[in-house]
Amino acid sequence: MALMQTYKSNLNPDWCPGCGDYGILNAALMAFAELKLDPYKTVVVGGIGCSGKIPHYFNVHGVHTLHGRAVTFASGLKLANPELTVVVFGGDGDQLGIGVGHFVSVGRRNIDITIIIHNNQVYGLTKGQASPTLPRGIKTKALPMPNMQDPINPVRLALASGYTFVARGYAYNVQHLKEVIKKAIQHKGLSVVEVLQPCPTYNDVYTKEVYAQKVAYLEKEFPDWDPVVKSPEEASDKIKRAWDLSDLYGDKIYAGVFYQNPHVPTYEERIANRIPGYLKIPPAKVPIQVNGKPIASVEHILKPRMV
Amino acid sequence: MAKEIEVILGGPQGGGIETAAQIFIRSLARAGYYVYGKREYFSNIMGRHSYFQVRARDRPVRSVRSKVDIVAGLDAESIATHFDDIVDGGAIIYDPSFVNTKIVAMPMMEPDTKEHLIKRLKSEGYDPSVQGALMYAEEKLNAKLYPLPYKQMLEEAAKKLNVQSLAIVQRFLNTVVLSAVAALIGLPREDLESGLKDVFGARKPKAVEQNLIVADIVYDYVKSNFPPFHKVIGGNKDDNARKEPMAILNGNEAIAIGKILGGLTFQTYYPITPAADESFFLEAHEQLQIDPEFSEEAEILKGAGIVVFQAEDEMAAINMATGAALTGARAATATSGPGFSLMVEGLGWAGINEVPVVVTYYMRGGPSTGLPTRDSQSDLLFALSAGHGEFPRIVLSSGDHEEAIYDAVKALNWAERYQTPVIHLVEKNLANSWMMVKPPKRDLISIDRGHLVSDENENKSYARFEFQDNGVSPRALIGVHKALVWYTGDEHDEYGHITEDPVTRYEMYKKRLKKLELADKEIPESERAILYGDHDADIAIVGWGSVKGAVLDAMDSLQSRGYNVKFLQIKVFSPFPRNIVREVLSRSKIVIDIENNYLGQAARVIAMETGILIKHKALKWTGRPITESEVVMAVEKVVKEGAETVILRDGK
Repeated sequence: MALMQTYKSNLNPDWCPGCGDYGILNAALMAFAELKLDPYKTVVVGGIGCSGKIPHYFNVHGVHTLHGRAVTFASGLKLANPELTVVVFGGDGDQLGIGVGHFVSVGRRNIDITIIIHNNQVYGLTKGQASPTLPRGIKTKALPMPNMQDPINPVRLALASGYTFVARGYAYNVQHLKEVIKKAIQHKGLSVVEVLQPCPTYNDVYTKEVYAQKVAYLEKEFPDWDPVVKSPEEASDKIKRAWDLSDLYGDKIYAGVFYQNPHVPTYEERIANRIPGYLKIPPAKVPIQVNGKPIASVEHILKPRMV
Repeated sequence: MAKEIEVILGGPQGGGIETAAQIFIRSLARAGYYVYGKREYFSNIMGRHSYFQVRARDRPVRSVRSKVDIVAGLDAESIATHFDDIVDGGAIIYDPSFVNTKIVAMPMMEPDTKEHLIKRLKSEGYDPSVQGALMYAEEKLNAKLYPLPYKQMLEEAAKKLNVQSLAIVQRFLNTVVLSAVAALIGLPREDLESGLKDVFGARKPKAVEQNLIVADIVYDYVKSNFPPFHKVIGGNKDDNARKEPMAILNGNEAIAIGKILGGLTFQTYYPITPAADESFFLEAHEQLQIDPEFSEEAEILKGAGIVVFQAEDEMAAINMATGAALTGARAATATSGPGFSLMVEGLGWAGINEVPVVVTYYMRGGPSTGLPTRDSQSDLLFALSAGHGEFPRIVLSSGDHEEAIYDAVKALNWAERYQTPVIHLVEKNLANSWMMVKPPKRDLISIDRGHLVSDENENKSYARFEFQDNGVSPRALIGVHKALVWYTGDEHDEYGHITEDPVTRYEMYKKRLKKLELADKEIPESERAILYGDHDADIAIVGWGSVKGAVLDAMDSLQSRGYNVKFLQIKVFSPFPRNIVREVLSRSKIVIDIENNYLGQAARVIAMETGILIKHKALKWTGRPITESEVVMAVEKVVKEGAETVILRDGK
């Protein structure tokens, strides 16, 4: 635990007592510690909302961004300097409501970053409105009337969007969540972890009691469970199986790694294919000047345009 | 005698006008002229009317005039659109088969344009057809008509090129029309050949050869069938021929070149007219080339490049650039009004987090989608105030292509020096015009990375937003320095952690805005507002952006008409060069503000910053750039009639 403390900043979270965010923070701190991430090469990026504040509680670089836009900042950070380990934390409203366009678009790129979705089905910081993951007909405590919109299933949306690592964890099973986050960070490519998270203040429907009954673990329920795509042809079958098992509203809600495909080139590799020096000297590291003089030349561009 | 020629080449979008104009511009340049050309087009891929206006003369040229010497059309619609755009005695080149085309039957002409045109021709007593339009031009404008049988030219070309199908030679139609113009003005064949080589290059030697065969057919036909045009300028090989080597660039290219020189390594964008070509151009040149002076660095940088990223929208574009900037990459994005509207929340985040990010903002006609492919200067006030809350920003604008190169470097430098967003305002008119530019001088360009953390060692007590007297805290780069940073869009303490404490808020707010005061102190006002002409002139014109070209070109003819005019070009609007503007404007009896918008936005900023209320304005909001002729007209109206607002409406 001592090591985990070194990844923790000296600020105290201001989340409600019993908030699932504590479990997610602790799982991530342990994961960072066990992976021995270099704090100077690690960036935690947050969105807006209760979960969005999380960058301030880590003792690594922290970037607390805009509502829904965390992945866009994270993408810029990573592509400008692919040496960085970049982990995004954001709520369900943040990433699947206002930011859902970015959530889907980033799936086309397989940028090597990790996205953690805090799924508590409500907008906590604005006093409990329905989030995009709250099922239709449900009336949580603060809602004046039952929710009229159908829910997004984060795992399925990620599968459909091209994420190459898709997992689910539970905020109150910190050990399991830690392992899932570790795998997600270690995965070379875009990884997402949906974290089921009770909101003790505003979600009186999907409570920890409900989750305690429903959450089951893929690797336990299916002893031969193997989410890893061994050859590219296998991908479609593994996606289908992941899809079938990722339902959120039946008797069981499965957690664990649903799908992992290591065969898709990362966006960084795609760039390096075109710009061979990219990984060695990425945009952040190009020495653009010597004693204030620019070193780039445009002669080759001007030459055919000279008259 | 001064040599000068101006031509409109019109045709359907996708019909080869662009290529013909590029060949023409280069041929004229090879013939020893200075050349300027602008492209007008619809938001359309194929079929709608587009045209190039090309102006060449024996001294530098930066704008177009309202009327041209020659109108040449690939199709009937071009003639119907531009028949009255000629000067008295100007020439119109067309195919005799166009004559019977009724305006009502032109499929691609917009209904309201047809209506205006039909009404106009009828009211003047002419048939609403190409025939009527040509008669109007002949009778009212003394037009010289050049009915060139395009089909016959193409048939002859097919024979000479040994091509069976006329459909195949059809693609030389643009060359037929271009060659007719070239023949009329006596452009030497060898210069046309050079122009062809410049455009088709070594890649397509056959294309050069084939086009020359077509050109010869047309040259011969024009020579033996038409009386000579009175404005045969020929080549400009005399003493006053241009000697200095120059580059022909459009505005997108100029800015991209500036960004590359300025050390840009990360550019993001979402496709939008007229900004996207800049990003395309950067992507085409993504491999970095290093100046031979820096052979050591060249070795290290082998294979390094610029990442150009097409994002899913403009919010992603600016935020990705901001994320990249946090790592130390020089990062920028390029957009237009609708895209900038989406970028506003990201701009605010960059503002409160003191992130050096550059937005190149190509203005086009708004609001909303507005006129997607037409010129405008209507976003100045928006750029100056975009975003809720107050934060420092630098807003600079470029008047022409050459400036744009250096300004692109400045934007990147200022962003890092003042650790704040920089908005580089340009226009569609810059993006889609071609100008001759002196190649950028390396010794005029320097890179200033601003105040970075100098310590390579671990710094556990580093505070990204440490209070400093001048507002600028040493910047640690994520992944480079061994110092942890926190950023947040919330108000924050020196470490970048969220706070709502009123004392910290007071200090941090002030710290941020102090940087604008610092920029105001450090950037000489003479760099932010440029005076052209006699300081004590009676008449002062004030303007910005691409109005510069029209005003500078107009100054000669205004002088010859007895007006003593100076021009104050405002380049930087934030921080505003209030002293120089106040001083320069207060010395003239008459001050005229010329802008491509309705509100006179720069005049409002001047009023706000200096208290000077400008009485006379010349304004335009048709989506077409202001011409040299309009500037002359506006000055005359103000001086002779005391007009307070002169409305400008020229151009199709």
